[in-house]
This record gives sequence, structure tokens and C-alpha cells, in this order.
Amino acid sequence: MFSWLVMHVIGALPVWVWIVLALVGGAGYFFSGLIFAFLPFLLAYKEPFKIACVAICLGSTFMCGGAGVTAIWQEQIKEANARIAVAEAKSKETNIVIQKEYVDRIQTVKQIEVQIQERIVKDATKIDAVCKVAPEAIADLNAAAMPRSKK
Amino acid sequence: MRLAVLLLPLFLAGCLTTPVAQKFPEVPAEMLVACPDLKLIDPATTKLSAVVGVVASNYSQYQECKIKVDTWIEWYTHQKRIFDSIK
Repeated sequence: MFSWLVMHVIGALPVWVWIVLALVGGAGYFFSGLIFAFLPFLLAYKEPFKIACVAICLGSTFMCGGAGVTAIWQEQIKEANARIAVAEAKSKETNIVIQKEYVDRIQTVKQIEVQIQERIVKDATKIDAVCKVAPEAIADLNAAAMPRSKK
Repeated sequence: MRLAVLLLPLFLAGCLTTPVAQKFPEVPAEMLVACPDLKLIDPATTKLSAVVGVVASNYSQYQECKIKVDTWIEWYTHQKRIFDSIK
């Protein structure tokens, strides 16, 4: 929780803060000799000051780079999400078209089947008058219609 | 030396990839229904009309399944094209 809070606060800082800090750290290191010339009573802290300046400069530059990378990253995410949204809309549109086409085609097949079944019923007398089906023929047809693969 | 130290921050760089998840679309529910088995003829019948009726019904069943398979192929081809277009 605490680390998240710290990261959130650091993330909320504008980029220019890191740039300023890096410049200040760099300038502090670079002009440390001049600074301590004016403050001779603090000369004992010169080396720690320089180390701190380098640390600040490096840390701030790192954060500045990180902020830049995060900004690019966020922009890429936004672009990718926009592309995905367009693709999803296209996909839904395609689904609707395909679904409609599928339903229409199935409906046509069913309508034709109904017509054919009606014709068979109508022609049943004629069909049955000429031919009597042997049980072997039915057994063969049923064997052909049985599922042939097991899951 | 001091200038060299100041140049060090330039090497502090990193790369990131965008973690954006892309979902493959859902297929229409009608197409997820499996094709039924073919109808069998009543073994007790001797009427050719009954046989023809069942055979014709099975032909229709085949036509429906063919449409379903064709639609699956069409759906997959379209959706894959859309899916690949945003990579």
C-alpha cells in the first residue's frame, strides 16, 4: 500500500521536476568546488555533497527517462486500444452479416424440405404402388446413416 | 572526468512493450449447435414413400450442415483477417 502510494505520487509528478532535479544535481556536482569555496566551514561535507549530487542527477535522469517511456507507452496503449475498438466493431458487424446470411440460408433449406415432404406425401400413392421396399434395403440404408466415428 | 560522470545518465534508458490484450471474437450462438445424426428409417416399413421421406430429410440435414461448415469457414476467414489487421 505504502509503495503503491509512493509510486502514485512519483508518477503524478510532472516531467519537468525530474529535469530540474537532474540539472540541479549535475550543476551541484560540477560547481561543488566553487560552492565550497564560498562556504569553507562546510568543506568537510564536500565529498558527501558530490556523491549526493551525482545520486540526485542519476536518479532524476532515470525518472525523467521513465516518465518519457511511460508517456510513449501510454500513447501506444491508447492507439492499440483504438485499433482494437475498431476491429471489435468490424468483427461485430461481420458477425451480424454472417449470422443473418446463415439464418436466411437455413430457412431456405427448411422451406424447401417442407415443400419436398409435402410432395412426397402427395405422391405417396404413386410411389408405393410401383415398389415395395425389401427389409434388407432399409437395413442397408440405416447402416449407411449410422454415425461412423467415436469421440 | 566530471564531464564523463555527467554523461553517464545518458545510458540510463529502458524499453517497454504495450500490454494490450486482444480478444478473439465470439461466434454466433447458432453456429455452436452440433449437427444432429442422420434419421433412420423405420425397419418395419415396406413403403418406398417412407424411405424417400427419410432420405430427403437427411439430404436437407446435410444441406444445413454444409451451410454451417461453409459459414464457419467464412466466419473464421473474416475474423482472422480483422484480428491480424491490428497487429
